[in-house]
Amino acid sequence: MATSTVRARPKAVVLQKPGRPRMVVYVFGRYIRIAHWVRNGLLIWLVLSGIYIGNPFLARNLASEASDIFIMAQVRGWHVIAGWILLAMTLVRIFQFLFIRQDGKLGLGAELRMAPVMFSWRAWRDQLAFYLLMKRDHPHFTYSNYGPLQYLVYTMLYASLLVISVTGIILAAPYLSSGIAVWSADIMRPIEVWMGGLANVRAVHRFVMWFFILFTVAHIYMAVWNSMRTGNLLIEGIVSGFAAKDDDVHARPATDDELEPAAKTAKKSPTSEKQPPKAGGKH
Amino acid sequence: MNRPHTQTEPPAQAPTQEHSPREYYERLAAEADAHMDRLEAKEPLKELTLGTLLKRRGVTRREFLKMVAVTTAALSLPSIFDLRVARAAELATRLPVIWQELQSCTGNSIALLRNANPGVDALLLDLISLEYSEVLMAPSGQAAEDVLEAAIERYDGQYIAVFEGSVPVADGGNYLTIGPAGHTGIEIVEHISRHAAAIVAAGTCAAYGGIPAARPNPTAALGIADFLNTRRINTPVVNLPACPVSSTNIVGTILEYAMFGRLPQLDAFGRPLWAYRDRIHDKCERRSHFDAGQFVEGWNDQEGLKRGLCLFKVGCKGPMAYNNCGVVRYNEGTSWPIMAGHGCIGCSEPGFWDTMTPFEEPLPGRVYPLPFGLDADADTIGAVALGAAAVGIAAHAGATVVKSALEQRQAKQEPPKKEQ
Ligand code: HEM
Ligand code: SF4
Ligand code: SF4
Repeated sequence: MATSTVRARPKAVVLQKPGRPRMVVYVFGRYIRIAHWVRNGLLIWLVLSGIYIGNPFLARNLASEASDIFIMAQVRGWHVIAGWILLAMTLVRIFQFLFIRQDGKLGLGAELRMAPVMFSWRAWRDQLAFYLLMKRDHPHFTYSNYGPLQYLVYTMLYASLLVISVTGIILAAPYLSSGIAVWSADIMRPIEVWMGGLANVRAVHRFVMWFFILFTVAHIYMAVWNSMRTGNLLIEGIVSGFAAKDDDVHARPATDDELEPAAKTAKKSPTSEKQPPKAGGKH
Repeated sequence: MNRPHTQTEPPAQAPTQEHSPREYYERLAAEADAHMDRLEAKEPLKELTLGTLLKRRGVTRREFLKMVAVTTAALSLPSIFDLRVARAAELATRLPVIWQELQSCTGNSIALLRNANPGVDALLLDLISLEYSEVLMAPSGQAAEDVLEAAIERYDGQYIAVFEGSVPVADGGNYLTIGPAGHTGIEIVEHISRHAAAIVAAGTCAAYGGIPAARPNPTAALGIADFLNTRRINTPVVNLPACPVSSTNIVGTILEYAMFGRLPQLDAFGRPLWAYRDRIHDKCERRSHFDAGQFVEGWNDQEGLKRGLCLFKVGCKGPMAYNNCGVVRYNEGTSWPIMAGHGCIGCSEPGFWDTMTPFEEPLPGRVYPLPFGLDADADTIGAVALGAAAVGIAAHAGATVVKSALEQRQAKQEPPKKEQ
């Protein structure tokens, strides 16, 4: 999917900068990029409107009759609509994660198969060493598009999106008399009881919002940092679709110390041989 | 009748899909009639009849029926039930009730007793066969204990047990002992519950632990249903939370039991749907101001208060609390908290106190206990985490700049690699 293009696009461009990745390839498909920025917009709106719902900060309008204005009702309404859109996109993404194979067909999801990266001591060591500036090169995981840290954080991100959606739907239902929110809240009643009533559901909703704010700050920093440190053009990539393939072992002769761990990996973990390194990938 | 919608809306107990509302209510009425016929065949437990009571209280039959109509509406039943509710009140003399105080302030008893006017509530209190109630009865000490034992034995499996207050289970239950023999709350609740037909947990403490169960809950207080769960006693329990529970909800539950001989349909937290189906917020007279974004801004906001704006920003927890206060109101329907100008404090919800404080700030103001006395609200916790992240980012970025500079210098000094 990543490399499918409608118009004729250059699939790869050779860069000239010494010591930096040499290939620019199309890594983020159109849907991925649009979805990324739509989600970004939805999140900003959900946080702002959510804070208003929690403690309304807009000045009140006493010039109009209460029956003529619907400030809170509209903020709540658009909050919930944005929430549903975000949930729909999240479900598509989770489906893709779980069930879409590398070749685009249904099956055990390609990304789900990358989970071992999270449990590899070696992967953690390499990645943390890179982030803690103890190693110059971005670790290359032949069997995973993600490093262990990304894998963990993105999994948590989607789990939190589910939690905030579930709590949001439970909070939305009492305002409505029928519809999807009402019947899904009916099904999720045990969750509401387990949480201990609407007040706690609301508290959970708010804590998860803080997780998103923290995630966003960390995510932006990491992406910018990565992009600058490795020259992989990730930031440009999420806009244009093109990023540099970082650490492309095939684009230049491998150095000695790159060969050594590679030889070890080949012996120790056969998984690294199963799948050839892919062109597409988000780091 | 103050709730016209109850005429058309199918009631909580309804298996409505198969029947039209009319058919449904006719069946329900038939069920009530059959049960009350059976009840009438039993001997009354009291000399007193409704007629003599009304005469003694100076209430005409007409006035009585008017009061009954209000109760019928509160029960979400249509007016064909008015006379049946009146009959249930008459038959209440055949219903043995044991009212047991536990770890409580007796506020629920007081709320029921302090009805200035002789409403159905006050009448019913005289009519039901209250076999045991520490607040009301004359005997005390061993004599009181004997009365309780005699009642349990005589009405085994038939009486309604009303509990008020929570059960403390810490220290073997020693935080609450009652009577000359020093029985613990644990023993008393187990004993009374095992032989009861049904249990009414009156007030939030009995329903969910309430104020005694607020953090740090030194007595390990439990609500009745939670306590009975730990003892595997499965007598059915109706929760009537609120602090105090309105007399309408207690009386309605008892009348309903007299009428049908079974407990009403309950929500997920064990509360009768006829009383707790809607949130305070759903039936609030200030609701249009909420939707309009017109809020009272603080206790010195005279204009907002005078105009009766929404109390959300001064801490109203109505959106999180299920109860019918706004419909039945307190003190013979005179007023209720939000009408009087203070937000709902969510007293009828599980976890009440901890989940609803601070009462005069919106919910995000809730303070969570953290180790080392660092208690903070969600936004402070979030902001501190964000600040920590910012410091970490600044440190990491700084280190990266230094490291890059070092790397570049090294690259200049070292001879370039083979291919460059
Ligand atoms: C990233 C996503 C979201 C964020 C950051 C967010 C944030 C918030 C915040 C801060 C509040 C105020 C809670 C409080 O009182 O402290 C809130 C309320 C609410 N949220 Fe969300 N929310 C998100 C997603 C959703 C979703 C997916 C839904 C539903 C489908 C939803 C439905 C609601 C509703 C109905 C309320 C109002 C609760 C009430 O009025 O009682 N939210 N949200
Ligand atoms: S005063 Fe409370 S219950 Fe009434 S509309 Fe405002 S928030 Fe809701
Ligand atoms: S208005 Fe709220 S706090 Fe007041 S009695 Fe009703 S449920 Fe309790």
